[in-house]
Amino acid sequence: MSEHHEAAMSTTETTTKNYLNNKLGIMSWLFTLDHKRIAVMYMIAILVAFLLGGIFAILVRTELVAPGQTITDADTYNRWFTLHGAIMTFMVIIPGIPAVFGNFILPIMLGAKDVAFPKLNLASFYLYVGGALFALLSIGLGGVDTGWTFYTPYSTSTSSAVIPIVLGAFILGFSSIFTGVNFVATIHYLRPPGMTWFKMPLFLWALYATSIIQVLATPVLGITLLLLIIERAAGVGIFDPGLGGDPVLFQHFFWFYSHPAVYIMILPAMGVVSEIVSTFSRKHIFGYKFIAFSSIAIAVLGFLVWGHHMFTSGQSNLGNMIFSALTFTVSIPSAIKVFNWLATMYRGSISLKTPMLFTQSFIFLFGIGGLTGLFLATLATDIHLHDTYFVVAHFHYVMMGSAMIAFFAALFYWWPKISGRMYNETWGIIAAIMNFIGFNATFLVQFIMGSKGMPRRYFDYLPEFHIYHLISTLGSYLLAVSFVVMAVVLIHSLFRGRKAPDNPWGGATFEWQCASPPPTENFASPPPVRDPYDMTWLVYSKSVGGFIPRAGREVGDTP
Amino acid sequence: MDESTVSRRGDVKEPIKGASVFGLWVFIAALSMLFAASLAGYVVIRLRAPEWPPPGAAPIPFGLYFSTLILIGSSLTLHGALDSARKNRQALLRWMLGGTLALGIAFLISQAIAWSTMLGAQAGHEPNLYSFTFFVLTMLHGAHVLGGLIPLAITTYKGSRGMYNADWHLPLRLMSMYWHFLLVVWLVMFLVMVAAV
Amino acid sequence: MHGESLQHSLAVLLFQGDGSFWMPPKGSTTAAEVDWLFYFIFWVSMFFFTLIVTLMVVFLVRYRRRPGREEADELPHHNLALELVWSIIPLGLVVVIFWVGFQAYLNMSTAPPNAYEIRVTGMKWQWLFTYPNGWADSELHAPKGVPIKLTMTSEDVIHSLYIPDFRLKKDVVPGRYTSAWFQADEVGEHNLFCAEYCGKEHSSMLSRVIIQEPEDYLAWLENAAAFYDELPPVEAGAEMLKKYGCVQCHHVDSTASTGPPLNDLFGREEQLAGSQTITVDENYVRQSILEPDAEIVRGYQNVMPTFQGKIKDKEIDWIIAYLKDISSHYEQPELLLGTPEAEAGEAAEATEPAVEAGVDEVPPETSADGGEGVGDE
Repeated sequence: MSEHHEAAMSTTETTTKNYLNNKLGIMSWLFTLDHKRIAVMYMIAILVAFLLGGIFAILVRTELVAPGQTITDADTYNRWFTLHGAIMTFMVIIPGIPAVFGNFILPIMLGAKDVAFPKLNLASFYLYVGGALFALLSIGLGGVDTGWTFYTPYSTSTSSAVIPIVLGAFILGFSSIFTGVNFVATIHYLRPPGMTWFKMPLFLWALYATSIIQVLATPVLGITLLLLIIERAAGVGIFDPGLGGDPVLFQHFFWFYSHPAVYIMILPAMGVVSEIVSTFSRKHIFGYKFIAFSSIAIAVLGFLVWGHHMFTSGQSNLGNMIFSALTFTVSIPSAIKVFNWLATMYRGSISLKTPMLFTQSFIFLFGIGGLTGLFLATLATDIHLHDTYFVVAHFHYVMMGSAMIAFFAALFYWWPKISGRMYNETWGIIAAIMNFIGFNATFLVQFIMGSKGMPRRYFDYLPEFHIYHLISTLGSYLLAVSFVVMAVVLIHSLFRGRKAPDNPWGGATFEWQCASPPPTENFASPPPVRDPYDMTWLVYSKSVGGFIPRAGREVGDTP
Repeated sequence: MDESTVSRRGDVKEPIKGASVFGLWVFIAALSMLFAASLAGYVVIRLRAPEWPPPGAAPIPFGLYFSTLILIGSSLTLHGALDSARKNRQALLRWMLGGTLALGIAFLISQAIAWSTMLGAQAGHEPNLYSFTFFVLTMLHGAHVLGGLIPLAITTYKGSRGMYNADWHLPLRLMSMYWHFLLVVWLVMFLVMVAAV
Repeated sequence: MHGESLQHSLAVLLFQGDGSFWMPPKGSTTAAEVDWLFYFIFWVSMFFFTLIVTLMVVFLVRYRRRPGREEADELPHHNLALELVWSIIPLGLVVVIFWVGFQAYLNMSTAPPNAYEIRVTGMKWQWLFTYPNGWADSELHAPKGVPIKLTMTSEDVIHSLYIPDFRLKKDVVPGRYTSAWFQADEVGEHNLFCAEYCGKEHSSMLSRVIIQEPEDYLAWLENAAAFYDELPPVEAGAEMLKKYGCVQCHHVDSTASTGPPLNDLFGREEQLAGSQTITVDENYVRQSILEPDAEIVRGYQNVMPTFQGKIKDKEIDWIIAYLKDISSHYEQPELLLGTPEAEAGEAAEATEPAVEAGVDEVPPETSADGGEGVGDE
């Protein structure tokens, strides 16, 4: 087996066939059933959406740099923040890690050739594209000004182009459900003999938990959005108080999906962090079962807490009490994970490369995002903080500071595997540090202005909030620059990067035992199952520039 | 559901046993959430309403009882078709599949008659949530039946060409899972609507 | 102006105004409890956050990969006792936080039985506070030292009444009543925001809370209605536009906003959405206030709430008087007053001018309502 590695390394120049070069031409991509190519197409689509959502974010922050009208009017501003939120939520973060890295890595981590239903996988991708185009159609039709939450009765009465974007989110939901079905079936049926549930890498546990939420929660969003479309189009509906309906019912329906959706975003991110922390500490993950079960616990409890978005809506005190109590229970599995990651690093051999730096950034930012959740789960303080910038800062720390940063950690971690090239480490680290500073400058001050009473979704604000907005806007520019640097680093690597070894970081999971980039079939024959976090059989080889099996400890060995 | 499955190992050629059936179960779980949420919304609206149906509104059309019988019949014939395939009785299989398709279409026609009855009774009245929720629930179910008719037609065609037998009848099995699920949804939905009055 | 606001907010940031670093000034009886809880959670969080970051940094430095430390130390892969400890300690803490938060919330959400009630109506994009004597105002006046109960509903979409200094927030929902209460023990003024996104002018749906000595409050309430009666109709009309929030959407400087501008409106020819043309007269103004969805000027959205049941007839009269005053399409009555025979002829009708005009449907060019200008005599 090690000869195979050495041979692969010495003859990488043009001779090896991989998933990128085995077939050429646009059609070979558009109709591909290869999970890796579908993942790459998702990656391009999602990064384009991220760029678009990011442009809206910068426009929003620029408008808020000073009180009063700065670069646009209130109507346009409302459209910008709506599109920013809708694009980032439905088109970037929810599909994000599962669609890109789940698709690419999940079958390889299992030692499988593909997902269980490759055609369904391609269909999911085109549903994503179709849904995204529908959503973007609303920009062409004058934009949407409802906020990404589409609260009734505002969304049924505004004159902006609500239906296309809601239809877009509806279709994106189908894409999400099909991906979930595919992953659940793949994990159940494509595990090789010997890979028991507790020998799966934790990233797969995270994806499994995520898929369950996608499958069970997304249909509720579907019916909610359908009812919204009907009410808007026909003028009759169950959210209309004039007919005896209830506008708050929409919020219950909406958050029944959208709160679990937060865990669709964060669980795969936690899975990524578990992989990276272990690999870069060269140490077995600490408390595997606690981490695995905490993913499942978060998925289950996540279904029971939606009402905490409605503490001020007039919900009964009993309802508020129950939702507050359940919300606190979700914090425990998250805390467990953080402590387990730290314990994994304890007495490790820590290499602070770009993916690990992003991961440390994740632990820092998720710490803040998670702990500020305590203020919002507490009834008395949430009444004051609800719908202020405190909430805005909190969910940006969780969704962007945690989920998106983990996405970029994963991007740098698996980039050598996906592209077959190494990126420039120095510039990767510079980008990660800029990103960290820019992010905190943008959002830390938002906690202060929020707790001081600055409501969210405000086009204009009182002068006492000016300083916070100014710092936040300047921070957002630094944040934007850091993403430009990241893009340059990655694109540069495609042309100038050195060829990636099979295992640049020393990971022990299956994806590091196939070539970089992997051949279409992934493995000639799947590697034998062993502990995915036992890295003792790997050793760094200077000549290869990556990790290879230790002499006398072949891949097939079971210690 | 996508039938094409890949082998997990290069040396094993046949599709993965059970993955499609399992995948469909997961998908059915998703659909169950859809219908459960719809019914939950219906119950909330019903509990908020002072009178149900509101004064002057039509009762639930009697034709729905007839639709129920048709749908039960179609589930029975589809089960018969699967059973015939397992026993390799090709002639019976054709009849059973043809019967299922006919009954499926008959169900939608019967529902359409109920919808027009309800629409006629509603004409000239102020819109109300009683009739609105009736249409939403029954049409949501109807849309799933309509969506099921397409694979059912394909299955019927393939069945009539003798493509299913004791060794290969997976598509028939998947079809009947989905179809029985729609029957269960309908029975629950209908029961809730009748009980709500 | 930006420079000034920046200096101001920098001063607030550094010197904290009346509040603390995180929280605004405490204006209500419940604020102290909320702040205490906020800082309790804050310090618990700070403890854990510092712990996490310290461990992280120490590990990153001490266990960095370097010659002689290519491999990690071989340690057990799990430790049930340790993991249970760091599951159960946070669990215990959040149970405490939950319970304290819930108790404080119960105090905040249950109004004392003797609370003084003020009705609140939220509408795009203004607040209307209706006091027990029927007086409606765009600002919330309340006596100090008395529990005040707000019974709230919305005309259109969901709004949310937010008074940061009182740590008070409650959604204002169409088709149902929600309620909130507060008690302020100090005289003073506080900001009031709309916290639930409600459309274009969401961020200008602001108001003030004015806490007064009970006797000052009662005096204000008594005088408030009479105050406008004593003003000239033109001035009273201008005040009405502010009180009912009309100027949020209807500017008086020819710039189109959410609604048509009000200057030069009276007597102007407007294209309606249904392609007819209409000359703005008293009846059109009245109809536009009471049934705003009946005839919409082309190019504008049907978003205005109705003021039926909220505005009084005499208040509409004042608004009409003001609109005439600021319109160049309307012939100024001074011209007519200049001629002695006109003055003599109109003097008798001059007492209740605008109402007369509204009923008679006389085109504004003619002199029937010319007495508007002398109505304040």
